[in-house]
Amino acid sequence: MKAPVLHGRRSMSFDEVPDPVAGDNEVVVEVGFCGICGSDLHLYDSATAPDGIVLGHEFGGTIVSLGKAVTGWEAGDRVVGAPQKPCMNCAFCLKGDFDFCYQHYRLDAQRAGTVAAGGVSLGSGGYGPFTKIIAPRLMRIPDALDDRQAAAIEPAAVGLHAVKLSGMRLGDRVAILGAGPIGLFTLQCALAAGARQVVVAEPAPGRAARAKQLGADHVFNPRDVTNVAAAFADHLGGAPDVVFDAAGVPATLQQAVDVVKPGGSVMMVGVSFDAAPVRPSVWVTKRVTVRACFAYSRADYEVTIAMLEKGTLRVENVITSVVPASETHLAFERLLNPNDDVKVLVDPRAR
Amino acid sequence: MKAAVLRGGRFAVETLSDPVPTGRQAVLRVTYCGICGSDLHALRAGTLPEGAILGHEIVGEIIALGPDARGFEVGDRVTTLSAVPCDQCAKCKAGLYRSCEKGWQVFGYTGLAGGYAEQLLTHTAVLEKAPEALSDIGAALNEPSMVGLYAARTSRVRTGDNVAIIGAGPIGLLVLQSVLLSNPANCWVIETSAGRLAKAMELGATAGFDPTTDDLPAFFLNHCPMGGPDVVFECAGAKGTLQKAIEWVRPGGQVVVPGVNMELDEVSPLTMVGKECEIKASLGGMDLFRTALDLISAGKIKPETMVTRIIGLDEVDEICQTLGTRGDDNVKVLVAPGKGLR
Repeated sequence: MKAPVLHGRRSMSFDEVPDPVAGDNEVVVEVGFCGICGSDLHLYDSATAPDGIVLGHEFGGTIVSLGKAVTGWEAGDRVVGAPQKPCMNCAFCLKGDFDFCYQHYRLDAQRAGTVAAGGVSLGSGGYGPFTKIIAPRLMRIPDALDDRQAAAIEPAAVGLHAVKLSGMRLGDRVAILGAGPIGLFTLQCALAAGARQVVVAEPAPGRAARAKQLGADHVFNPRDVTNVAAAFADHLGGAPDVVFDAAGVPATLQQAVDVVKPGGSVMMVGVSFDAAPVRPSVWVTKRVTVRACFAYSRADYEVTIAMLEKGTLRVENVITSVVPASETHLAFERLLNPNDDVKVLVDPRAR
Repeated sequence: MKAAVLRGGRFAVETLSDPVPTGRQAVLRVTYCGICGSDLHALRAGTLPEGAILGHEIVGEIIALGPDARGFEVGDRVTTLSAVPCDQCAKCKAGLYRSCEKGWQVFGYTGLAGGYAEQLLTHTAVLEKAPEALSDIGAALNEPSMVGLYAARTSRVRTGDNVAIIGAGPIGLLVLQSVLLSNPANCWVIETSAGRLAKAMELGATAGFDPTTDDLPAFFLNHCPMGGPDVVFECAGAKGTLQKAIEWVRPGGQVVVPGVNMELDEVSPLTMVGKECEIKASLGGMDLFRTALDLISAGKIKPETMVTRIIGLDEVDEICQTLGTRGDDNVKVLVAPGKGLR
């Protein structure tokens, strides 16, 4: 099969690679669409992924072949799989609590590469036409969801997980920094969870417009105001109870603490790989709780699928374009520069 | 009255006019006032106004009451919260002190005179009578005891948890005593001063570590089922210790921050996100003022064991230069404004 293969920093070519073969407890799926994730962009830009890897972990697909130990699934089943591969050895895995696999939590730049890189089984991810999923991670995609929606399950689950862990309550005032894919799914989940108002700060006009269309009460450009905290308080009618930092840059962590009300909560959804400057004296005098979340649990996937099926979560205005697999590198280059795209899908079957 | 007054970054003993209470205010003759790490941080950061009188950990005797004061009498032995309502705005006049329009002011930092003085002007709304059984020192240290108790109660520590405390200054030692009340499996203390570590062991710590020589990540990996303590309290308030707390806590664990680091610091979002940890900043807990007083009276929290020195007003300047700096094994120092003067 042909797939976009990563070769060191900012180099990707559309090469012939071996078709994946299902191991005993694995299935091979034909990928529908695969979303381009910010962490893939980081790997592409930083040369931290193993050479020769096919990236891509936001996809759904159809089972085409099964390992001999796989039961309960058959060819033709439409499935999705949580991308992290549990180590099966840590204290969490030994209890069967794979979502908390200790390996996932010991992220450094290197490990971020290997966890997020090749999808479920390392080596060949969802930007290729075929990839593998280990059987314990499989989940069924309902008929009502198309392949575009299936590709959005992964980033949508990140937003859901963030809202669930944030401590946000019915009637809270909510602020979101950043309207990328994660920010927009966080927005939809916060609205679904009963936020009184949600106000979003986003510099890119195209993304800002989409946040508005997805139900944000107000969206402003943080570069147009002298005091971001005051702007949020003005538009929300008071300082926010919860601030979601979905910008993924170091400076926004302290900004989120400056924005939140005294005693409020900050949830870091995006992650920057660089150290973030902070003023702990402000954290303490404001008595804030700062939380960070990573990915999602299997239960989050189930809820996300149900919410997409119900229409509570929508992919319109989040998925903004589809590119053929042979042009994946062009999409990566475009997304690394300021742009109005939100979520771009790769079509692995299109040349 | 005499007071230690901040003049050009140093303290000088000066004679000032005695405070006069109005409304529901009260004047105390200060018996003891603790020197708090926050006072030292503010002093060293140079953020204090000229002429400041610091001190907010106070026990004293009421010597005068405003005309509208109720519930207290001259001669009562009392301890005061560290901040007071203004007593002038409409909300205070209506008795709604929590909603004071000016916001409560903390003694010492913004011009309100504190307890490094013979007399203190405070408010009856923030006073508690010291129980008979309670020593003067125990009552003076009710305020920091409350801070430690609040940090422990706001944390997720449950019986059987592994807990680490960074810093065995007064707040670290008070957090230790409060946390031990809920019987964690282990409560490890991390501190560079040998004297302070010894005090932590005396108060019930499981083991003490010097972070400059001990390999803590290896220890935690070997001794905690989830690779690190369930809860880490950052009580050192120094640059870099917050990131250490995040690195040491277990995945899904909690970092509680009762220590105030006034400097710009750095944390790694990658470490935080990778661990899904929670950082809970903790300050105050005035709802626990009476609870702390009762726990001290019952001997369950022993703040008096931390006191290493009692000084007069004329010694405030000297002690504030060295207290809490590396090599200083002092833990809690009290100012006795009457010492050597009365």
